Amino acid sequence: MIKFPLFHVRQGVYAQTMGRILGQRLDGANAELDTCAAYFGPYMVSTRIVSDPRTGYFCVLQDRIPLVEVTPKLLASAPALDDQLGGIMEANRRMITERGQWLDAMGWRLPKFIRFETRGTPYLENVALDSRHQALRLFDFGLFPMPYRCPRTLRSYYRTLLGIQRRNMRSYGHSFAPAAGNDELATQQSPGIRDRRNEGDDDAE
Amino acid sequence: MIGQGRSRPCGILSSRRCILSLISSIRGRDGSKECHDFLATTKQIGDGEASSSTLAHRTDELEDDRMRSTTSVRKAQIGRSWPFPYSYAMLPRPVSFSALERRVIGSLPDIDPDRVGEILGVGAQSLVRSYDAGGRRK
Repeated sequence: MIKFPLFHVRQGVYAQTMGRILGQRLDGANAELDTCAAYFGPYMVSTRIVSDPRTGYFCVLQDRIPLVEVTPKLLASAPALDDQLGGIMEANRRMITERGQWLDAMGWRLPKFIRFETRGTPYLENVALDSRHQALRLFDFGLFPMPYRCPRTLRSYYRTLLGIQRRNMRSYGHSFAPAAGNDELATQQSPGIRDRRNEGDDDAE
Repeated sequence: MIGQGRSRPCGILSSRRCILSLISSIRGRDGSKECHDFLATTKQIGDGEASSSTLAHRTDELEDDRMRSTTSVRKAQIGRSWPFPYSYAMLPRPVSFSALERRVIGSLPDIDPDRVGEILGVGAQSLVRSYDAGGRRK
């Protein structure tokens, strides 16, 4: 299958506002793909970026594999898969600590999100089960920044998203991000992040 | 059986109109012959020449005939639509692109627009379409 950034191919209000803010640029897409490959390599679906450096247009080509939704019930019946999700979350926590970015495991699917908010039914839209190989697969390598790495205007938005992801992953029995105070933890462990954060703050201010 | 009361044949005969209209509605004009047979059977019952089991058997036969007839009508309808044996809705729809999409796809090297297929989903950040690296749309 082939993926295009929404704001490249749609002219709607959402695509040109939020889609543009949230969407990846070519450099960002390449960097995030490399980051994901470094942390989640064994779980990633084969992915290739095709781009036109002249215009900045790009697309993502991925193998299309039949996938099954991952639910807490499924994981309860298959400890091996639960271990794999634990491995993915461990890599995610490491990535948060080292790079200040996190994986969007939930993805966006409005009906599921409403069900999650109203009934507390968790879902993972970007992590799915490859039933043929009995392995979990990631097929969306879009990463979100930790709130302290964003411009001030988007900080509360990403903080809310991160809180939702944490709640969701707790229902699967795993921890999404390092324990409370992880922002401080991250900056203590990685001076580079602290520097970048300070630069970001300066930029925002 | 007939001796159970004179009112029974009358009851059957009086319901002829209802049965006739029911069968007519099921079979349409083609059911006239069967209606005739059916009414003959009910008349035989009324005259004491046939039992109610005969009526039930006759009803089953009519039901079988109706099913066969419906199937044959469907087959005939499909046959009549030759050379398009399937309805239009079952045919693959042509893939359409927005002007922006055409521009983006056209500018990307190694991407053949003919291989880009239908939309699989629209996310918060991206639009996903099928793509067949083998050379045809999925």
